Amino acid sequence: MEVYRRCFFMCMVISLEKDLLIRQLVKLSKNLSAEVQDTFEEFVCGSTGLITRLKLGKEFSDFVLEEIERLKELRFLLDPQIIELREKRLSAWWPCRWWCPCYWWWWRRCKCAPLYEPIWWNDSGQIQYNNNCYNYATNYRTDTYAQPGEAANAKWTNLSACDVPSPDISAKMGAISDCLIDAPAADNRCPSKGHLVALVIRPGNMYTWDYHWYRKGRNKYWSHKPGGTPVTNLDNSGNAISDPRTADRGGYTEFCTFMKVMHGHIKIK
Amino acid sequence: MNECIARALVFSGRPDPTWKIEEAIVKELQKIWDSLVPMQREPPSAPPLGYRGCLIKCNSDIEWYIYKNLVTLKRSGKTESRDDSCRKFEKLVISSAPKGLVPSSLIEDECGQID
Repeated sequence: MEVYRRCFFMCMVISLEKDLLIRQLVKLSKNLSAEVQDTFEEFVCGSTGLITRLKLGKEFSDFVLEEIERLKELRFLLDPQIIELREKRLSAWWPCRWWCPCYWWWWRRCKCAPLYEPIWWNDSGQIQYNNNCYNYATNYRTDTYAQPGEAANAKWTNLSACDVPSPDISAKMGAISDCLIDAPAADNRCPSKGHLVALVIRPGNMYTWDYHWYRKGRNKYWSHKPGGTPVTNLDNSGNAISDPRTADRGGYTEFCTFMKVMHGHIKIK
Repeated sequence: MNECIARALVFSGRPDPTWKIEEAIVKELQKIWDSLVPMQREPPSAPPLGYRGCLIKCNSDIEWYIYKNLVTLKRSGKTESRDDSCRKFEKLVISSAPKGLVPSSLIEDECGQID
């Protein structure tokens, strides 16, 4: 228990001194993105973070992450800028006060989304080359270059459109067979359970057609893994992706749908 | 025997086209590599979606990555990039694929005429 307390204290120090540490890290590397700000604690204390080197088990990591989330919410609620925004802007049109659950809902709504952890996938080896956009979007490593519908013996047969006439099977229909939930009305909002993914296709003929998946992260931005190449959070124009419907997707011109991934419910192969 | 497998990075969901490169072609690629100069200008960067180059892996611990005028060789943990301004290396790799395997229209979209 003493070890737990000490480590918890260490993480809280990291949490509270985050801005200072980030400034120091930015000095060290110009490549650090603004996203570090959002995911720094998870990077250090998460299930795949540096803290795992202490070998204290998943239970401890979960406990630390819960505490980090709790403190984030507290920081959010007590942030002077947020308080000012609340008073000046929101109260003018929204009949809410600071204690209103809508703030909690707004803050927590991507809580179940996966972290943006490119380093874990971009190993220039087994993980990177054998897992594709479908693996990454569902956050499910199979090392088999998973195909929508394969696990349910209903693999796609036609990628010329988002919906194809029976008996052909589209990528969307294959994904539904894998127990992903079609959520066309999600409108870029994270679900209360599970996480949000988006399916697009590159129409064409059987030699050129293809599909692609994006996933929405905990920081509310999207990321993707184009085939065996590295995970990225940028689109083809080099911009961060706030909505895959409006992102530069190159030849993947057709946006099919948003879908929901319920953790532990899906099966892909 | 030095066996090499090439992979054209063109798809995201579907598996990329892969093919075996004959030893004579590998020797030709090695010759082209030897004639190239070190990369001194900004190397081209591939977009996330669409044609993203070709990868060649040989069982002799050699790995090449080619995209437009950039040719990168990884050997025994060391990496070296060279400038192939005429894109001879890339053309030879793509032309070594069995006919119809690599959708040339996708590559031309990104890179202009290859052949």
